Amino acid sequence: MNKKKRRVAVLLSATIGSAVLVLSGCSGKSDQTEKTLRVGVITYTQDDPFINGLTDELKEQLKAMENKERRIIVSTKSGNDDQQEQNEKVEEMIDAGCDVLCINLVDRTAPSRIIRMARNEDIPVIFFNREPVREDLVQWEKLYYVGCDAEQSGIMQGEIAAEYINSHSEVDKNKDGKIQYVLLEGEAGHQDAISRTEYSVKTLMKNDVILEKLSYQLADWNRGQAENRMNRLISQYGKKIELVMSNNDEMALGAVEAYRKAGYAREDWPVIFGIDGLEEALEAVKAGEMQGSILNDRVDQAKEMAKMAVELFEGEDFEQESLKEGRYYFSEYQKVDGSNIDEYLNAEETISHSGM
Amino acid sequence: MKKNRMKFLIIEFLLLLMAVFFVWKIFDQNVAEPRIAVILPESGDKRWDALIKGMKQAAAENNVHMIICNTEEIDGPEAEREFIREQKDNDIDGFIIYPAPGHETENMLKKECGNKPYLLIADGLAVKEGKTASPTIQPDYREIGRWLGERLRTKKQKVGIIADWKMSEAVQAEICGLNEALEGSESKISWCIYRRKEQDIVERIKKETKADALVVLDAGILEEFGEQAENGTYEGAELYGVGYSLKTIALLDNGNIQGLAVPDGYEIGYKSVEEITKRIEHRSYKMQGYITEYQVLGKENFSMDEDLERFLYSYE
Repeated sequence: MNKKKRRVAVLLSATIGSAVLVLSGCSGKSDQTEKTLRVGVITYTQDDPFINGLTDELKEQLKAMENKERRIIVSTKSGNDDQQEQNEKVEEMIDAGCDVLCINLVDRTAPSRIIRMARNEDIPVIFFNREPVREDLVQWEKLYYVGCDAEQSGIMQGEIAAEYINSHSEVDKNKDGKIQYVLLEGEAGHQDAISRTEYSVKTLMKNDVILEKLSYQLADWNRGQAENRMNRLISQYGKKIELVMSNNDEMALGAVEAYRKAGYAREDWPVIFGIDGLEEALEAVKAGEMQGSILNDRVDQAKEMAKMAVELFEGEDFEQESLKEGRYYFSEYQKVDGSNIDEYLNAEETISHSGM
Repeated sequence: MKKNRMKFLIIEFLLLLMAVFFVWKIFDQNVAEPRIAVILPESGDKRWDALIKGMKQAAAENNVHMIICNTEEIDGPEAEREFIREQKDNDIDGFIIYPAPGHETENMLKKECGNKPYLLIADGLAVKEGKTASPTIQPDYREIGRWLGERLRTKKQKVGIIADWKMSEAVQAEICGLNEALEGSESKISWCIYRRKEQDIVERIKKETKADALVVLDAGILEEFGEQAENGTYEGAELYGVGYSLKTIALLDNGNIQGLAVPDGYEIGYKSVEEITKRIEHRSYKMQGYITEYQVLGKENFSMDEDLERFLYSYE
């Protein structure tokens, strides 16, 4: 009986021993297996050069963070200007497997469904460029925002425009002491458009520029639409327009294009100011077709998003304290005009150097 | 007494029939939808819009759950293997795959997909001349190449080709068709560039001799060049090519592109889901490849007729 018991004990310990060996071998192997971080990026449209540039930069930054243990797959989709479609794309991405979502909302007031879907699957969401309202962002601790303060861009645009107008008396072409201006606005009711419009005009007035409004035109952040609006305004007001303030560079470039096609001599052009610091706009500043822009630092924002995505995935050392209220990251705008254009013309190199 | 027993038995039998019917109905409703994973390079790219639209339509009609994998550029079988493995863990019943370029792709697919059926779309894997290894749903690329060649042989010109991956069967078939059509004409192919990862194609072209016509077989580059074309030419060369978007058609209408072939992405998508669903539902079903339609559009006779409108609807 004792012999039998001993034999059973030997057999049992051998079985357990080999099982432990096999299991530890397996776990050792899985430790060596590379992890894959799957980042899903969904933009509001495919036709916004600033957003496309930011997305490309984000991909580059994430790829630079790959190593032997960590593979990173970045998949991008677009909401095609339709919140319903963007929601469906998010659902598809989650369904196929995703670790971190980066969302550039179509409608900044309607992120609820996306938040609900992400929360159900415990997938952190980094919203970018279009800031959701605070009440939505505080719904869950894994929601973040990376962007800029639209109010700051409006103030800066007003400042560089005022500085230029106050030091160039020829801007007031009819010498009536007032600057006749038109304003190209992004979208009706869009918070960034409202802030940029409000603060750029307020800052101009605060800096002793007397303004006379000719027209405010909505052009949906789009170059083609802005060009059409400007064509109409040029035929309506002719050389009366002395200043064009635009909520972004794309629309400012639309205004430039309209003046190019209208065939006006350069001295009859108004002064034109944009926001974003797109390379084409900076070239227009260099060529004297635009007088200034406010650089929206996409490299800095992309770097921060890439860093956040990796840290959220790794689940360790997430520097939440460096974020405002633990969830907001605002990068600083920079003024660009004729005085410092060479420094910014090749923005990517300049920004990466200054960031070092 | 006997009558009552008969009645009882009949009622019991009817109740049994009803029970069987309801049990069958319950299980019939609980049959899980087949799950199909779709692997396309850069799955969010707009060149797949019509294709995915066709797939979604067929999936809705066939009660199929479709999973469009989150991908980036797939530059070889290794990258594709990762996506297949990931989806195998996602309870997939079958795959629809755009094959990665590379000689090893066919073996990799056979090995990785194992007993899960897979169907190739938009590009095939040739094992021998004219014979594809797996059933594929795609247009006749050789015919597309021939059509482009026919347009180029009308006058003497130097032709430059910009193509996608060298090992793509579609690209090789298109170039083969192009060569066939140009045979005996005064037009000659001066050079052919196969795109490489992260290559600046604009800089690359500058190293080649000046061409009178560019045949762009890479839809993304065709859009890019079409946008930059002025007065009907890009850097002095007329543009011809294969496109998958409304934008390329608008560029043709605008005169930036002179000749365009547009494969019917919707049909490719619809047929692929239909075909693989049949295979999943009936294990003995042998999947078939299909040659799908395409539209050819020339700048000089471009007009929006009903057929074209219907065709373009799937691209919207």
